Amino acid sequence: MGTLWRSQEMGRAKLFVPSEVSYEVVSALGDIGLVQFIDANPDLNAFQRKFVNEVRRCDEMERKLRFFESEIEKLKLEINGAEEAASMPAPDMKGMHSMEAEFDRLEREMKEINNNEQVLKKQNLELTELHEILNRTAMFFDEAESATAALSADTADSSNTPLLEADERSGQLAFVTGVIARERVPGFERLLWRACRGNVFLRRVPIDEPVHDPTTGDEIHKEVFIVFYQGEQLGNRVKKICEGYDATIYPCPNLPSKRRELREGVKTRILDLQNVLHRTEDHRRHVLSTIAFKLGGWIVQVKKIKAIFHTMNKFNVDGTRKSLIAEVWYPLARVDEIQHALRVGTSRAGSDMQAILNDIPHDSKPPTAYFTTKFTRGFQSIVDAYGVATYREVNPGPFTIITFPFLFAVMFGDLGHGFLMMLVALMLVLKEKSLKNFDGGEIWDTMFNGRYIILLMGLFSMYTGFVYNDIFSKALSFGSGWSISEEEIPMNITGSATLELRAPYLDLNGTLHNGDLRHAYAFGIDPMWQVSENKLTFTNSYKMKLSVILGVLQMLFGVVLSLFNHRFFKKSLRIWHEFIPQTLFLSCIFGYLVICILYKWSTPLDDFPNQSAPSLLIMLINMFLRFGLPPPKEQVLYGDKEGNLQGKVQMALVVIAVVCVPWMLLTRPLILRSRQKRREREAEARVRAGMLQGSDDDHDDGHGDEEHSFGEMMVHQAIHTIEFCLGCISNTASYLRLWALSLAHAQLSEVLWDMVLHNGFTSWYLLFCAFAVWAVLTIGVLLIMEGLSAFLHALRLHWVEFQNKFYDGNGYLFTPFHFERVLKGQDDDAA
Amino acid sequence: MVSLNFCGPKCSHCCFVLSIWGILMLVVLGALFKTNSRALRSDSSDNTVEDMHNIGQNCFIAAGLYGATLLISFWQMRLSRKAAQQRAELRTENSYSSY
Repeated sequence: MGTLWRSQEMGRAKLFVPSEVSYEVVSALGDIGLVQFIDANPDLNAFQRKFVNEVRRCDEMERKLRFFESEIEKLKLEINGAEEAASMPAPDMKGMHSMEAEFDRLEREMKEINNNEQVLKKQNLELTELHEILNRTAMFFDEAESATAALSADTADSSNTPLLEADERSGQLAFVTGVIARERVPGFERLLWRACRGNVFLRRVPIDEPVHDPTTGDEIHKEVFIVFYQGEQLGNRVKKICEGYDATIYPCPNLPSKRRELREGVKTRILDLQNVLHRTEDHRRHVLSTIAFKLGGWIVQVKKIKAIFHTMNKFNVDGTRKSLIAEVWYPLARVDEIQHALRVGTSRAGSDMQAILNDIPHDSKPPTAYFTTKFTRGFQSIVDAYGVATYREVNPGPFTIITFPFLFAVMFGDLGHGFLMMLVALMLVLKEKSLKNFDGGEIWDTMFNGRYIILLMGLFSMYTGFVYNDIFSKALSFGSGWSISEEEIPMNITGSATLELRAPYLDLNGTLHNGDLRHAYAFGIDPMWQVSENKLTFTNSYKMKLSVILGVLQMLFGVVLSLFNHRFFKKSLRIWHEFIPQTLFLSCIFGYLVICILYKWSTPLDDFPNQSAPSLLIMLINMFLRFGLPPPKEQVLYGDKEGNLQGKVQMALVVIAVVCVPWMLLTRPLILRSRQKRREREAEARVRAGMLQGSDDDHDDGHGDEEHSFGEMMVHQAIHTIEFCLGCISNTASYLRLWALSLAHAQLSEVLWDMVLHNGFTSWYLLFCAFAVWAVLTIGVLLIMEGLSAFLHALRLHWVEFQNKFYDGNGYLFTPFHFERVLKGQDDDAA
Repeated sequence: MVSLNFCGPKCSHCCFVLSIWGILMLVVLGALFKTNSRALRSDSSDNTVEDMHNIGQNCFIAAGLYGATLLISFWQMRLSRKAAQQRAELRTENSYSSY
């Protein structure tokens, strides 16, 4: 607890680093993560700094790595190496140069491969399309040929020469063949018809298999088309339209024999090309898989290098002594590790110029640093989420470790639910090594980081479940203290024994109509209450009183913690005129109530002065309303029968509590004012005596930063006093949420049992289904929803009711330069 | 081959946990009903010893059913694990095929 009780003592120092070792020194400091650098040139922008070129080089490297990453992701390869690189020190400057050169070479290689591949793919596409055209159009030609076979004559070998010359009526027919994307076909067809006034003849066939676009790699469905037309002019128009619709035109010979020849040629060329393509693809995969093997490590290393230069940009440059100077915050307790890191850094650079850490005086507020473990981290972050502790003030963190799960459990008390919650957390804790790198989104991270909190919440809920004797809304019995006779149960007509039908009515006095109390139950609430008629009356009273006791104790504890703060910061005025009246006020009213509750619990009814148990709430109200009078007869809790003793005690308590209010409100400001006046008088006297020097070295404690005007001080104190006095009442009432949520939880689990599982008991198949529904609802509603709400209320009780008694929370967090933080993306400047 | 893996890895794990919970809890409940536990008497419709025994019987049968779902989900878990392994192997084969 020593390290969490107060934040670490921080030192402010100047760090002198010789330029030639600066990179290595900063790198070594980044490994240990104990030093927070203060920006020495906050008014310079990013481009005016010393290492802007190096940062830019890192950006360039990151760009290349991103390029590799995207290429690798396309092939769905695994990226390795991040783990090892994270634990290794950052590469030195030489390493950075060689990395740069390697990335450059690889990028060039990749680009070349990609270019080649694209060219090859384009060729492949053209050849496939031509092949398709030759295949598909053969059909049209065959039709035409068979029709005109008898009349056929030799035709010239040109795409523009007449094709179906034999048909004299059609005159000179020429044709264009090509390929067009399917979605463009309708428009193309329409325009062709309109532009050529129906004087062309279009035939088209879809290509079955989609082709791949060489640049984007998308799948495109295309169609082969052939357009027959007549005359040069029309031909030009058709070709223009084809161009406009992005259709690719391929020349197609007229003669069947030539076409057949071309087709064979194309086929062999496609085969060759595909061979080459496969080989380039293999080569590419090979290069990328070697990159993927190291890429994770490279990304980590570049991030580290970049973070180092970002940090070095925060240094001041001392030109004459050739060194860099930075101002840093560091925890004094760990100075040996920092010195060691400085030595490691210089030795890594191979230089004997030592870096020097030199403490300097300062008047700024140091950051708040804690050294947490994986167990305490979650609890500390609960406190930090409200406000980071002011430097060196008492940290509620260590107490939160116990009180937070405990207050949660008071609201969540159920043995079964606590056990399930504990099991889940236990799994997270036991498998934390393998689950650490599991990426499950924000909700998962929150749950995983809070695994120890959940574990303790589960364990404590099991404990309170035992106390409440509640397991899935049923009670465990290890021998109830009530004896209820079952012998008198009459037999019914069928001859089977009927069990006790009526729920027993239990009387706290130890009697009931068909049995009585033999002994107190060993631990927690007697299981007989679970089946009794007046269960709620009893548990409500019990839980309500319990929450008042817990609340008052926690608030009193908070006030006591403020004593430690006042003593530490040497504010003796605050101890005498704030802490003492606060403690008196709280204990005279609510401390008294707690004692009365405990007394009433432990007293049998017959031992009360008038054999009647008074209502404590009314007693508390009467303390003020019937001030000075003894309580009415039935309200006497202790002392004589007339209640004279009780009346006097209560009167005294009220007087003390009321006196505390002006004490808190007035004394401190008045004392401070009189001190100030005295100082002013003394200063005047000194001026008159001609002693002007040394007037401000007698700073007294207790008011250091509060030398404001009297009015301001008064207002401040009034607010503080009113807040405390009203807070005592409203906060005590606020702790009743412990009872309210506990009641809600118990009732909800009972309802769930009665509405779902209870109905399933009639037959086995219903039971099978009902159990599944009940189990899912138990997890969804009772564990998750109720758990969240209990968590929220426990959080509020800590933040508001507990911490406002002593916690200032005006500090700022120590953010050391640490590679771990950089890699997790927590360091905003270096990211 | 038609895959018999009708339940994914998440679903089968869920069913697995639910089955274990079901078996444990229903067996305990069944035993308690058989022994006429006072806490569970309100769950019997007519408060007779016979009825309590019947409910206990029901609990044991339902626990047996959960035993069956336990086996099924275990089988499904194995199937999906095997499938995942095969996929992983295929991927590594792909990425190292060039070596």
